This record gives sequence, C-alpha cells and structure tokens, in this order.
Amino acid sequence: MKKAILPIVYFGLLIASTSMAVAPTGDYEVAEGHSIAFKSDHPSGKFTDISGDVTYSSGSPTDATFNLKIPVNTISTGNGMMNKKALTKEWFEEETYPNIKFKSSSVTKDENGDLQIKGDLTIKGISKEYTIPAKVSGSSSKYTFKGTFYVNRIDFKVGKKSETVPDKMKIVYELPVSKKTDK
Amino acid sequence: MRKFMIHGLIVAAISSLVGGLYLHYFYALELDESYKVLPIWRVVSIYIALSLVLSLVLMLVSRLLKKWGVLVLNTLLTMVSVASIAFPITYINQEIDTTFIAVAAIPVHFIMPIIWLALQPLTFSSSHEG
Repeated sequence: MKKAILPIVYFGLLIASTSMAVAPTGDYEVAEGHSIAFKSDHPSGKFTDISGDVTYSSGSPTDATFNLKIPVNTISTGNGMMNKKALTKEWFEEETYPNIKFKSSSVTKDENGDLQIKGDLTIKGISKEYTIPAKVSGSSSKYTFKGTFYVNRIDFKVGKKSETVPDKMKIVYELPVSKKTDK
Repeated sequence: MRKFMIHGLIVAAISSLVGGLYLHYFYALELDESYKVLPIWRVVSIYIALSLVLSLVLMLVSRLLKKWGVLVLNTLLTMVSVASIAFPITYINQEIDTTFIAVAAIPVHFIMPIIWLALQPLTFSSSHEG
C-alpha cells in the first residue's frame, strides 16, 4: 500500500496540473466605460448598466462567447416621467422581466475582419435570434467591442405600434471587457 | 521509476515555490494589471505539469540512451526554454507593459529549467540506473 502512494500522488498531481495548465484562457467581465444607447427620432436614450461574462481570444475569435445582462431599470431617456413609463407593463414590464439578456450561440468573422455575433436576444421574456456586428480593439488585458444594430421593439412586444415611436430602434453599443481577477 | 518520480516532484515543488514567490512580489509592486494576463496559478500549474512530464521522459531516455539520454534531454530543455522567450516578446507591441515582459514574463521561462538542471546531480549522484 505504501508503495502505491507515490505513483498515486505523482499521477494525480500530473493530471490536475495539466488540466489547469491547459484550461482555456480569455475570461473577461464587462468593465467600466460601457454604454448602450438606443436612437430614434423619438425617443432616444441609453441603459447605464451592462454586466456579464465574455470569453475571447484574439487567436481564436470565433470561439468567443458572450453572456450579457442589462437591467431595464437603468434606462435613461433624459426624462424622468418617460423613464418610469418605460418600466410599465406596456413597455418593458420591469416587475416581471427585470433584465434584457443576450447569449451568443456562434461567432463568425466577416470580410472586414469584424465579428458577427449570433445569439438569442431576450427582451420581456421573448427570445429572438439576432446577429450583432462587433469591431474589436485592444489587447489581451482589455478588449473593446463596438457596434451598431437595429432592434424591432414590436417583435418583443415593447410598446405598441405607434406613429410617433418607430418600430425599429438603432442600438449603438460600446463594450469594454477586462480580464477577470484571478491571481 | 521511484527515483524519477521523486525528482519530478521535488523540481515541481521548488520551482512552483520560487516562481510563485517571484511573481507574487513582482505583482505586489502593482505596476499594472499584468497578473490578469499571467496569473500565478497558471505558471505554477505549468511548472508542476512540465516537471512531472519531464521526469517521465527522463526515465525513458535514460533507459534508452543511458547517460546520453540525460544529456540530450537537458540540451533540448535548455534550447526550448531559450527559444520560448520569443512568445512573450511578440506581445511587446500589444499594449502590455514592457517592464512586465522583461522582468516577469521572460524570467519565468527559466526558473523551472534552472531548478531542473540544478537538482539533477543530487538526484543522480549515486548511479544512473533507472
């Protein structure tokens, strides 16, 4: 039995250390300086908070994953009354659906070298597949993803069809991510 | 077999301790957030895995090539550890602090090989039998 201890310790340590040594790198979290704005003739505004995890490696960008959450109560239209109205049942129904979520399913690179992030966008409990473009900049300690895309609010039952509020909202985002602290 | 395993474990323990302390005190200077790029746990796990794998390879080459096996393996290890500094050097123009590359990322490539070489005479002082 005593003779078996050394090989057990040796190979146990070998397996454990090898799996740690080759564990995937590139775990990031959303950093300060993020912004997500929605633009139309009326209304325009932004969400002031985004959180979540991103895995990204410049060596294999198409293996990237994004799992993001935006609390709807961080909406800021520049008008307090409008902010409150946005949280009501007719619009985001914050009490039942407190977060907008995005979870990527695949990432491809387009001819310009930008990422095309396909995933499920969930607003008000309704999930739709969206492809979000992203320009990437930065280095391995901090990357920034930027892009513009359009969301049809009617698809998610956010408000009703209206002559004053357009169906499609332009979304402009900037998402800096920094390495998770794991000294 | 036992001798090689003990050699691997001792090298793993000492190089992990030396490398871990070296990086710990370097990061304590808080020059930047380099530890996010090269966390201590990863360096330690690479040292342990390399030491243990190398000791198994050493056992094999010692049996196959006798004392030439040790020489070939140690020469290869030295060459690979020197060549491997090309990897951190490629990061110089990628917004990573050059002090971190020069003082931490490059030296950690040599800690484990130096300890490996330094301890070999002690481990194999009595004989070269496997």
